[in-house]
Amino acid sequence: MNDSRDLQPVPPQESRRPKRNLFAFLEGWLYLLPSIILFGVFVFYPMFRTIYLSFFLADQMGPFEFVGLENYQYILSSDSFQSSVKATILFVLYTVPAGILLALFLALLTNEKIKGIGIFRTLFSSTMGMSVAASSVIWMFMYNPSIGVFSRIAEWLGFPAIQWLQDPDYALLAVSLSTVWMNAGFAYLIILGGLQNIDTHLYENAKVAGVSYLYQLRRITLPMLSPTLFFIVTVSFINSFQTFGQIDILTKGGPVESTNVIVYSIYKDAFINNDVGSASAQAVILFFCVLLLTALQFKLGERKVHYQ
Amino acid sequence: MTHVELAGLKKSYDGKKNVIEQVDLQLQQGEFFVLVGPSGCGKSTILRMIAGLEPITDGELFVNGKRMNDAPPNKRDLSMVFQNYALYPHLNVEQNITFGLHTKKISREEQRRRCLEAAEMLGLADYLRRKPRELSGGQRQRVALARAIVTQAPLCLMDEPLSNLDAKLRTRMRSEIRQIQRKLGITMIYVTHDQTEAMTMADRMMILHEGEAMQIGKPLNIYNHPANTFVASFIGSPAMNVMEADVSPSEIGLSPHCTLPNPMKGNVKAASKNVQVGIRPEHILFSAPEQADAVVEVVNTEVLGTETLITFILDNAKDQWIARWNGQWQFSVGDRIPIRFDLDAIHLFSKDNGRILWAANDGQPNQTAREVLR
Repeated sequence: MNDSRDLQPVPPQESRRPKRNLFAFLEGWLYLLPSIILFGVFVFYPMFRTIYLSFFLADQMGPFEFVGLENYQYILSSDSFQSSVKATILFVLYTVPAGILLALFLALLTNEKIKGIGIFRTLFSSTMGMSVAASSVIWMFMYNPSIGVFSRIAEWLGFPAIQWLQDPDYALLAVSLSTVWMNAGFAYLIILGGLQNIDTHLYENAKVAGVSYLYQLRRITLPMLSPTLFFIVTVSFINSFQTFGQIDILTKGGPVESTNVIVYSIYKDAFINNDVGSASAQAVILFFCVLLLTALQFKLGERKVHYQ
Repeated sequence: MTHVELAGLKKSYDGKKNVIEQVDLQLQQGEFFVLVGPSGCGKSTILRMIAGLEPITDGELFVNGKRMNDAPPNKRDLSMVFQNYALYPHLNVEQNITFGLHTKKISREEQRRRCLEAAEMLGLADYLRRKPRELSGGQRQRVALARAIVTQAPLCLMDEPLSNLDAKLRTRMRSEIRQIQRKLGITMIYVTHDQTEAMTMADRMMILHEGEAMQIGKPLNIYNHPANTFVASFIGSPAMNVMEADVSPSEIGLSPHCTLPNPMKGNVKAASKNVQVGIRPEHILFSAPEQADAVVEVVNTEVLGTETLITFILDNAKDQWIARWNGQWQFSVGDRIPIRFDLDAIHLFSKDNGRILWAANDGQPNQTAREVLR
């Protein structure tokens, strides 16, 4: 036996790739087809249709006159739309930071191994399982001036009763408060998941080093949680811009248009005022605002995010 | 001087079953002590109890004579290296190394000086600005080591620090850790499941099995005088051959064709007990046919270059023995070879509880060269 035979180099394999290229390309598209069809029908077609309609005078039957950018000009100069923009921005500012801080606080509280912690975790995340309609009705009762719990408390403390949903100064605040409550469950669950993903050894090392809780929160928890926080901030912003259900049930955009956020104004224009062209133009404007904001977040936020 | 003392340490998670059963141990200042055992034997739990990361169920822990059962980890004056290094991915190497030093009221300049010193010692000086993910496994390991060094704590706990490294790097870090420990004179408690690490690094070691200490002592003493079959088969690679045998007052029968003289003749009571025979692979020798204790059938050979591991059977195909011979031996499966057992290296264990009954080289290790040279 000749041992050197064992040492022969392996002959290089000839590449057969080029022949497979076209087939592989088609095969790839085939796998993508189900999601492309779904996205196409339910996302891309409505989106392009909306953009198309925004250049027309249109009612619910369809477009009937091309007007170019007239819809946009009309909207941008209308007082009503400007108040909608203001309401939307205020609504977002009221709900997003408060919601995330609340969720983060609750998640930090319940990220301990204590007996019965599961009960609290379930409670805090339970709003995620409630429909917007159901929770809106509950809040409507709570805000009710004669039978609502808020008025009772105010009365008990000796304050004047506030017409929460009827007073233009308070309506947006009231809707925001209920929105924070409704969104807290989801944000809480995501943040809790993020917290539990942090390697416990990092904390054990901090324990051995003997750093304080706040230092640990600032130097370990928040940086390690940054991808989760970034995700939840982005999603919350988008969510908040698109809020509709609770406004429809609690205030219907009123009083005095104080809660008439852009999405609700779109709805009113399209289905009540029968002005689909204007509604489409508003939808397009909202879309680009959200897109711009999200892009900005990625640009600015990513630098502060530490992926493992 | 005694540095760390465990007195009757116990741990139970559910209040009924003890996962750690009565561990007593005294560590001297500057000692390198290894806790070794298979996974799940409780070695990490002991380490975490010493560190204060796990409450002690029963028994007492003393550090420098002071009872430390309830002290928080940072009051125990120790540093710890974790298996996965526990580096902070968002901090650079320098920030990782100096993490937490501010709590010890150490000035910024002093922190920086210590960090540079440790980095220099471990060859990390060029990487201080890098993030952990930009480092190789070995470098990350060194950062974790550096972090333990800069605290200048007199006691360092290590929890399987090398198990995430490849074999070559592991060998190198083994000797590096040992050298640093000697240089700094710190007491080290080192947890591993790898008996080679334990053998090569330890001043003394403790073998754990299911929460119970099996044996405590110097590595060579344990290797030469295992207290029971568990230690015998756990320490040493390949493991000691431990086989059942038929024993009569004058003979030990390994198989119908292979009997050895019973070395316990003097002790009739022990001699008649049920025994297991233990012999290390290096004590099964190639023999001239006329002096052979048995002619055995080769089942497998592993040629490692400097030595050859030969797996063989006597008569019972289920009992596979391993012999380790120097040099390169090329047998084919089925070859029949004559072998001899080194009777001076035979261990006899009780079959009932696995305890050692008799060992040929009692009190006299074969290799005394080390002692002679001293």
